[in-house]
Amino acid sequence: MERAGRAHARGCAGRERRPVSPFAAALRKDLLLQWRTRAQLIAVFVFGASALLLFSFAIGPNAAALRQHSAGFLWLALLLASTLALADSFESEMAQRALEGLLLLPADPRALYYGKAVANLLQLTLLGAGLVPVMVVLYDASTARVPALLGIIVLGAAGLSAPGTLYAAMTAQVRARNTLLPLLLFPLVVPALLAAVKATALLILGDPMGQLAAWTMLLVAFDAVYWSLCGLVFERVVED
Amino acid sequence: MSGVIAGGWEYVIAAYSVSAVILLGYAFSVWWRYRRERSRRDAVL
Amino acid sequence: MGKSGWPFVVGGLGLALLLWGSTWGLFFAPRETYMGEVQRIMYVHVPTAWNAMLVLSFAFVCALVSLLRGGWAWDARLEAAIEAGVVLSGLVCIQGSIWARPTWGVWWDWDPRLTTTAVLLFAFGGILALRQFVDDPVKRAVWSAVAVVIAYADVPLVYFSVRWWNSLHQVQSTPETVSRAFHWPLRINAFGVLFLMAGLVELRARLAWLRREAEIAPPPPPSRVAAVAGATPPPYGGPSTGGTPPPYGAPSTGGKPPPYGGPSTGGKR
Repeated sequence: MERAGRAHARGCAGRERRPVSPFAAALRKDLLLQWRTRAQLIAVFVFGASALLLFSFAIGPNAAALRQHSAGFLWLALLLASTLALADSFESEMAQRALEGLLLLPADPRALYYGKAVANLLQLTLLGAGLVPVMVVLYDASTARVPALLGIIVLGAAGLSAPGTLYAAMTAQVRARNTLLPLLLFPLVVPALLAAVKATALLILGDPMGQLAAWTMLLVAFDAVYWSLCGLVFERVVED
Repeated sequence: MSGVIAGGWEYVIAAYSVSAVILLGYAFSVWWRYRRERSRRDAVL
Repeated sequence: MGKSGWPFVVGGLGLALLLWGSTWGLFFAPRETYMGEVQRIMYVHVPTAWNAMLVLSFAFVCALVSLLRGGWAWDARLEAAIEAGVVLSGLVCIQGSIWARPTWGVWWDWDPRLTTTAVLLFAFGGILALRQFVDDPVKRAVWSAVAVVIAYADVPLVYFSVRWWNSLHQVQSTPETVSRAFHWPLRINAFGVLFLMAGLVELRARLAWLRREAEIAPPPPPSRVAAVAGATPPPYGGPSTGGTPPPYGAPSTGGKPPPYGGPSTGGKR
C-alpha cells in the first residue's frame, strides 16, 4: 500500500492534487489488494466449482432433476465460497494493526466499510459469473436471458457482501473466526438466498407466471436494508 | 363424532412433556448458575 | 442490579398459571372437531410462540438501548434475553414438529412462521456463540448488540420470503383462528410463560451482571475490606458505588477515556 501511495504521489507531482473521496480511496485500496492476491480468488473459485460438482453426487446422474435444482446448487456454492472470500477480505487489516491505522485517518469509517463492501461485491460477482459456465456444463442449465442472470448475480452478491463485510470485520478480530462468520451470516441471508435461487431458477426453467420481478424486488429490498444498516453500525463495530 | 385425526394423545403428551422438561430445566439451570455465581462472589468478599 | 426476590415470586406465579392453563387445556377444554385431541398442543405451542417473539423483541430493545445509551445493566439484560429467546424458539420448533407429524404426516412442513422461528433460532444461537468467543467485554457488548439489531431487522424479510416461497408449493391452513371456547387456557398459559420468562430473564441478567463484575472489576482483596473498621463492604453494582465496572458506551458518553480522541467526540476527524 505504501508503494501505491508513493507512486500516486509521484504521478501527482507537478499537477494540482485533486481531492479523492475517502470512499474512492478505500475502494481503490481494496481493489488493488484483491488484484495482488488474485491467486486466492482463483483458489476460491476452484473451491466453488468443486462444490458444484459434489452437489450433483447428492442427486445422482438424473439429468432432469439436476437441471431442476441447478439454481439452488449455484447459489449454495457461491454462499460457501463467499465465506472464504469474505474472511480473506480483512486479512490485510489484521496484519500489523492496519485497521487501527486506517481508522486514524481523517475519513469517515463508513467510507472504509463501503469501499470494502463494494470490492467484495465485485469479487463475489466475478465468482458467481465464473461459476455459471460450470453450472451450464454440469447441469445442462442455461438461459437465454444472460443480462437478467447477471443482474440477479449482482443483486445476490450484494446481499451477501453487505452483512458479510460487517461480520468479517467483527470475526477477523476474534478466535474461531472461520466458524463464526458462516454461523452468523447464513441465517441472516436466508431471504436473499431464497430470492436469488427462485429468480435464477425462473430464468433457467422458464417463468410462465412472470414472478421474476417480484423476487427481484425482494432482493432489492434486502440489499437496500442491509447496505444502509450495516454502513450505519460499522463504526461501532471497529471502534476501540 | 370422531375427527379427521383419530387419537393423537401420544403427541399431546409428548409436546407437553417436552415443554415441561425444557422450561423447568431452563429455570433450574438459571437458578443453579445464579446461585453458584453469587456464592462465588460472596466467598471472595 | 437488584437483589430483591421478585423474579422468584413472578416466576412461581408463572409456573402456577402454566399448571392451571395446561390442566384446563388438557382435560377440560372441549375436543376440536377436525384435529381431535392433537389440537390441545396449541395450548402450549401458541403461548410459547408469542413469548418467543416477545423475548426476542425485548432483546432488540435491549440492544438498541445498549448501543445508544450504554451501560452494563442493559448488556446483562441483552445476554439474558438472547438466551431465553433461543430456548423458547427451540421449544417452538420442537412443539411445531410434534404437532405437524399427526396433522400433515411429516415432521417439518415449511410453515412460514415455524420456518422463520427456526431461522431466528439459528441467528440468535449464533449470537450466543459470538458472545462466547469474544474476550473483550466492551467489544462483546457492542458486537452482540449490533448483531441482534441486524438479526431482528431480518425477521420480516425472512417471514415474507419463506411465506412466498412456500405458497407456491402448498396451501395449508395453520391454526390461525382459535374459536372462543379455546381462548381461556390459551390466555392463561400465555401469561404463565410470560411471567415465568420475566422472572428467568431477570435472574439470568443478574447472573450476567455478576459475571461482568468478576471480569472487569474484581472485588478488592479481603485485607482491604477488613481495614474498613467493622463496616460492611460496599454493595456491588449501581453506578454510584466504587468497584463498579467502568461504564462503556454510547458515542456521546464519556466512560473510559477513548484513545486518539475517538468516537465519543462526534466522530468527525
